[in-house]
Amino acid sequence: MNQPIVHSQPIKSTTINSAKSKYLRRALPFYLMIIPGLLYFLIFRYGPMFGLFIAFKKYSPFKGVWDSPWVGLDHFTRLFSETEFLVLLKNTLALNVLDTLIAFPFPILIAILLNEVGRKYIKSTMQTILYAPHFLSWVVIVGITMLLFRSQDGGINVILDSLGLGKLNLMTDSSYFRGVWLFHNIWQGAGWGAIIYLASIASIDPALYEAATVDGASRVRQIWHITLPSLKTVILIMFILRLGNFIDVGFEHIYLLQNPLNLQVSDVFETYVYRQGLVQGDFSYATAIGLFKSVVGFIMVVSANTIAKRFGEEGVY
Amino acid sequence: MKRFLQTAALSVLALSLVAGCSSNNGGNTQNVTTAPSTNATTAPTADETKNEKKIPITFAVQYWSGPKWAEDHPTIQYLNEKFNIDLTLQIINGPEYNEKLKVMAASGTLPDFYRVDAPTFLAWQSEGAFVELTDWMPKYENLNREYPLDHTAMRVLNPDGELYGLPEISWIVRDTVQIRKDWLDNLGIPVPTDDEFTIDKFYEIAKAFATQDPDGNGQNDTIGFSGGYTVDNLSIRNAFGIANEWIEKDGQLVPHQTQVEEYKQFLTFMNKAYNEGVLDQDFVLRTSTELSDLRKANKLGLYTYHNNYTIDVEKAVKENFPDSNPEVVIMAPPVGPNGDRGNTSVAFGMNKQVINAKADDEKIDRIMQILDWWVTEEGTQIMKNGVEDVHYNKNADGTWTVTDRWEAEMPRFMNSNLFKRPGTDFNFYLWTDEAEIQRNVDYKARAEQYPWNNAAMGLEYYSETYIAKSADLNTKFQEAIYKIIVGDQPIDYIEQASADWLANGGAKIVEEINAAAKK
Repeated sequence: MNQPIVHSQPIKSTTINSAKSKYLRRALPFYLMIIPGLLYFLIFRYGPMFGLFIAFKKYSPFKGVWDSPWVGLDHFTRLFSETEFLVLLKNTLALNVLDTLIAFPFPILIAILLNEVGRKYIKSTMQTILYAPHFLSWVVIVGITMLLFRSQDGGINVILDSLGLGKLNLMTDSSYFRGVWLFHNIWQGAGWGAIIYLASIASIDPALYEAATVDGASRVRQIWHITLPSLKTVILIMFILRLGNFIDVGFEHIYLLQNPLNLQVSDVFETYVYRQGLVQGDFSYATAIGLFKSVVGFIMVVSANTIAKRFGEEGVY
Repeated sequence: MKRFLQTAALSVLALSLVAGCSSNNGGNTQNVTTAPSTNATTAPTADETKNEKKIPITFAVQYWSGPKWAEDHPTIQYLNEKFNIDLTLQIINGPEYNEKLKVMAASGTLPDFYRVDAPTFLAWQSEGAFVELTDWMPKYENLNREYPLDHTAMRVLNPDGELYGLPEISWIVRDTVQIRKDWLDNLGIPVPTDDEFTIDKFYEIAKAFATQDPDGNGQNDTIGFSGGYTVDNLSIRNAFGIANEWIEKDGQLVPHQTQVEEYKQFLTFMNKAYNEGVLDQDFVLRTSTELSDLRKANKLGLYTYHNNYTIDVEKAVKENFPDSNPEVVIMAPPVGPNGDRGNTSVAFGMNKQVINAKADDEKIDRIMQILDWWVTEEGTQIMKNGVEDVHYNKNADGTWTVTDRWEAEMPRFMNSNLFKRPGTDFNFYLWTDEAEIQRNVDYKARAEQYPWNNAAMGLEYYSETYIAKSADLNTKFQEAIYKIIVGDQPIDYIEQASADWLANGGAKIVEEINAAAKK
């Protein structure tokens, strides 16, 4: 390894060749390091895409992927003509708009506020408390909410009732559904999401702040003119990535919160795929819906990225 | 304050339970004392000339509650030796069972012998997933005797002259209304006779249970009645004349979704119950496990249930609340305003036990041998009671004593959850006394006194629209029912829901079912 690279080259090689091979020698370990990640994506992300073509077949597990008959675009026609399609689209988009508008800024806010906390031990304690919920699964979070807010015997409802304030039908009244979902998302995700912003803030040149202080800028002014502009690129990248999931809401959380009384606002593509694909066993139709979702997500990311670039920002690629 | 502390403590406890369960999942909760079962006096004598080759066989079994079988469970060892097989049990949680099967089908890992429900049976049977058994049956005389080819349950869902799975032949009516008599006594209400037990009386009792502290613990923490509108309250629906799926009117089969007038009466009743706090305020959210917990926790004393109430309810309440004196009485279903009353009949023959078509002749033969033995007196006794000297002992005076391992290893598991001899005696054991047997016989007679039959039983699955759309249509219809009960929508909204059901495919289903009935 420590041998001088130039000496090992055949004498006839030109300087360019030698530079190239010098580069290869130096870069080889890095390429080797990429391999596991590359294999992961090829095997577990690109490989399964092969199965997407059952979206155009009437797949039967017993006939197998090859022998199942082709049906063309039947599954897509069915999806778009289903009375439920518009409801699903509306619910999915409503939840995502809410999440993007309200939940998305929270990690930024937390990162900035934490950054302003002077004492280190308070800062790290706060940070730990804020990101701990990330490690709780949805089952536990929804379970706690149920225990606290069940109408008959939920803890908080029992207290509210004994104080004569009446009960809060949080789980069964459909008008609370979106609020509960959003609150869960913020509570569980905001602290964790703040980590990436905290890291970017840490890389800001302290000289900028010092100069601003000398010029008499207040803390708020410093945040507005230094911290936020420095975070702009990261925020934009996170936003573009967020748009890629604009038609996804995550199955588990919604499914756990869902009941017949809030179905009109809680039924989304994921739960529909679950009912059709697993409960009814219609794999082809479920795949078609998945493909439709991926195409929408792809378009969202590409267009958001193009717009970002047009405005002179970096984008994700 | 005391109440608050209790609730808080309960919440914390429940949380710690969640944590406890997740760490326990993979583990095996049995404390098996290592007694090699090969020493047992009942060690089977394998017919070596017959089953020369040892073959691996996989069974899938639905799991609901209790201890799980270990891989080396004495009964598995017994079967392995007797039939020269290597038996693997795939124990699948009950609520996830059907989904798991579909995933297994897609990945080509279905077990050799398993149970499927009616929709899955029909969908897969036409695709050649199961072994056709007509020619196999006559070779196994015990099985052929207990499961005759011309039995209705054998015929239903199968194409003419073909047989793709063995049905469950058991209860006609399994559940009936049950009341905590000790609660009635506490409140000074006499147990109503069949004639007195009207739907209004039901309401009066439920209201008293919800508001007058029937368990006498000084707290207003009991529930009148609970369950979704289908889970626990079918007998109430029946009292208002709503069909068990289908009813015959003027020679036509009519689905319950179109019985708008009956539904209006039923929904008025349920809506009132909900508003007055007689119906559990969380009935929409309750799972069957939670309902079971409510009964055991002395919070629910009026419900529909099967005949395990002595163990599941009386015994559990007594254990949790030593001061109480739980006594459950079996009631007739309540009688409605038009004299209708009934306990919903079980749709028999809908679940089928099937053999995977991938099995070769030798494996099919081995599985059929097991089933043929299973339905004999000897086989049934072992599949219910377990292995002698391991799970129970025979005393000198001819009586029987169970060992510690009987409850811990649950030898009845496969007999209760996979396959059994036809009949309702599956919970009679060698040591079950006469009184208990009599109680079961009485229970059966009482539950079956007022059957509420489905006029189109089994026909539903000949309607293509029903198979493709019924699940989604019913979800919509149920959503409407729930909304009316909790008052989000007026009673008349049922007209809309019924019309929607018909318009979105229901009318086609009615047409197809009536066509199938004429065949």
